[in-house]
Amino acid sequence: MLEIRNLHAGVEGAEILHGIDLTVNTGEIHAIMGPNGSGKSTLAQVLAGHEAYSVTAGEVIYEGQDLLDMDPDERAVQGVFLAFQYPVEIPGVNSAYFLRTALNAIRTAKDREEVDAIDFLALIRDKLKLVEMDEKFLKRPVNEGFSGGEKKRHEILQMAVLEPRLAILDETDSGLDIDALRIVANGVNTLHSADKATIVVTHYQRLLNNIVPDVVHVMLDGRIVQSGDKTLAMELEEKGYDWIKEEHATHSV
Amino acid sequence: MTGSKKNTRHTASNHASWIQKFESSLNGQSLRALRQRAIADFDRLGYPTTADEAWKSVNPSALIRPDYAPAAPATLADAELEPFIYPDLQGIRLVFVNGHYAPERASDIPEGITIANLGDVYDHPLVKAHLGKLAQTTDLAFTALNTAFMRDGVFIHVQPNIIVEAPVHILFITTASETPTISHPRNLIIADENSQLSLIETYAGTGTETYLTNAVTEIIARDNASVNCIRLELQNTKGLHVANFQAQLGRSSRMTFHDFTLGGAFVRNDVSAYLRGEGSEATVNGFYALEGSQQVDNYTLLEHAEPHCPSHELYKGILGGSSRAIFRGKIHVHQKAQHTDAYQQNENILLSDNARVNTKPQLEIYADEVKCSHGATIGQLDENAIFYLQTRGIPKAEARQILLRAFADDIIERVTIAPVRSHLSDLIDTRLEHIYAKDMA
Ligand SMILES: Nc1ncnc2c1ncn2[C@@H]1O[C@H](COP(=O)(O)OP(=O)(O)OP(=O)(O)O)[C@@H](O)[C@H]1O
Ligand SMILES: [Mg+2]
Repeated sequence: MLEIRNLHAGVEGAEILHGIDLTVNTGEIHAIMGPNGSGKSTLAQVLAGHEAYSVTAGEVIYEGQDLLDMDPDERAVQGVFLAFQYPVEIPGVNSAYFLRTALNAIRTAKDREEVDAIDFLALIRDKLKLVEMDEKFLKRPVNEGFSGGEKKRHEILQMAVLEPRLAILDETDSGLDIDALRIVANGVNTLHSADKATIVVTHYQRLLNNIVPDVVHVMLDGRIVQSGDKTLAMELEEKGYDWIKEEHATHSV
Repeated sequence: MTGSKKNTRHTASNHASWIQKFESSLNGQSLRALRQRAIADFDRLGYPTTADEAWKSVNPSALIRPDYAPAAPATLADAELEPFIYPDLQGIRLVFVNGHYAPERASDIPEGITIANLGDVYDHPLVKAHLGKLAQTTDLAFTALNTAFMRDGVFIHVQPNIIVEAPVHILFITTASETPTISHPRNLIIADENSQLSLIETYAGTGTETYLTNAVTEIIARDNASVNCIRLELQNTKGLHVANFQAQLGRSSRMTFHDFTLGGAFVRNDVSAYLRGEGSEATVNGFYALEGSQQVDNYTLLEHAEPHCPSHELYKGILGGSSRAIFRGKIHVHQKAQHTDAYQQNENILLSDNARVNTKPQLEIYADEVKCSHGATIGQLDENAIFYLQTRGIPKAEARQILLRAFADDIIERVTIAPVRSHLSDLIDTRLEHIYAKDMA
């Protein structure tokens, strides 16, 4: 479904990703771990199409298409979804309006009929249950004044409404209490299926007990330096990143 | 040469004779003393120049054309009026065309409220007693001109304890023609004790030629009265607009004012609220959406003369093209006005590199128990918010429109009269799309 080849990207003047290779097949769940500042969010933002990052080399093929050639909204229409590490507040735009506009933008782009207000309400009530969010959030401006955990759940709510094929979750587990973690993990598992793919960026093995990954990658200084099965995450939990850093340092000498 | 800033083509003796000639065309001469005082003030003041403190940031020369002719009466076709009507508004309507009352366009007037064309009631005791008391002519040249040459407008008197359910919509429409014209709409509104009134003013122009509308509105809200005002300015793209809105608030009275400035080439708004009764409350909000070379100058004054008065002021603007906005907000708290709670905010979004905003709060506080806050922002649309919306499938142009709308909604949503709110909402939508499209082109 997704194939990233030798991806180099960065911000003005500074390269952050120094050649990423990653293949995600349909039906798989991948976890990306790695120390702070290693480039996980940069990769996620590049995949979503953030203009602040420029790609200097490499390619990203999504469903046989050149992903980097598409505008961010076009990527969303094609089924790519990013749950932000830091969801953006949008004052004055209430969540219900935002969700319905997004859903209808995607449906319109696919020549499907728009969902009217009544049908949308039925649909959204269903999705709210999945993330155990109160209906009152729908009336509030997007993310404004939401607690950290509420913002993360709101990201999953959006994912539930938009039903992407490729979901990239950037630290959606950070800042969640124990119950919320279970709810989010459960939501992600429910939304995942054999014809979809999910990439979870996380610092904690804890999440991976609930969302069981097929492959775990370790990112370091803008590169994926190690990949393995779920036991790699357990090893990291136990030993930290130092051993990988050392190993990688010796390799690169 | 005297070195005076006055426009020498206008001489004092000239003006006095104008007044006499002008008066003979009017219904009654009972305002002669007021007119003569006003023209004397104008002769002393002259047209403003950038040397005047109150006109410092904009060059008023665009407004000054010695060749203005008084606007002549005209009939308005239904189709010309229609764009300025609120389709679902059940209310009282008075229409003025080129500064002249158009009685054939007026709706029926319910009981408990006196509504008349000011030009027909110069002799009304309340008119004699109050006209020109709030809108002083001593330092505002355009108000002096209006007072000297005012003709028609609306006079409203709401009796004590009367709640006027039907909003009063007054429209001043100029049918611009090749000769630049000037009109001086003049309104006086008196809401007696415990009364309630909603007033909607529309100033608009048809055609494509230039003209000047020079309006003055005086509002007196007596003790415990509640006056809800909405003003919409939709002059044509060459229209010049000067408006002075003055409100005086009695004890425990409330006045809300929502000002929408969308049209015109040059617009100058003076808005003053005098909180002269204890516990009175004023809300003064404004929204402007500008494009091309439009200039809008908002000059507001919240004068707190008595204790325990809150005032709320929020002006928001969206600027495209090479437009220019000025916001000056003065809050004057008298020594006596303890426990004043005054809030002022001005927020602007610039859509183009050539648009400019000057914003200047001015606080004069002589009381010590005062809560007073002010703030101003000038920024661009939030790129991260646009990106966030895009990642949810919303195209960039639509994302920008959503953000602009949300910014404007903050003011639109405060309009409590639903049919007015929804119509304004559509109007502003179209306007924002237009401004946005121009800047992206
Ligand atoms: N817009 C930017 N401007 C400058 N530097 C940036 C920008 N975005 C990212 N960086 C830098 O790139 C590096 C990688 O950042 P990134 O956010 O991708 O890390 P991360 O792996 O997601 O870290 P964390 O685990 O803390 O979320 C950091 O050093 C960061 O400071
Ligand atoms: Mg990150």
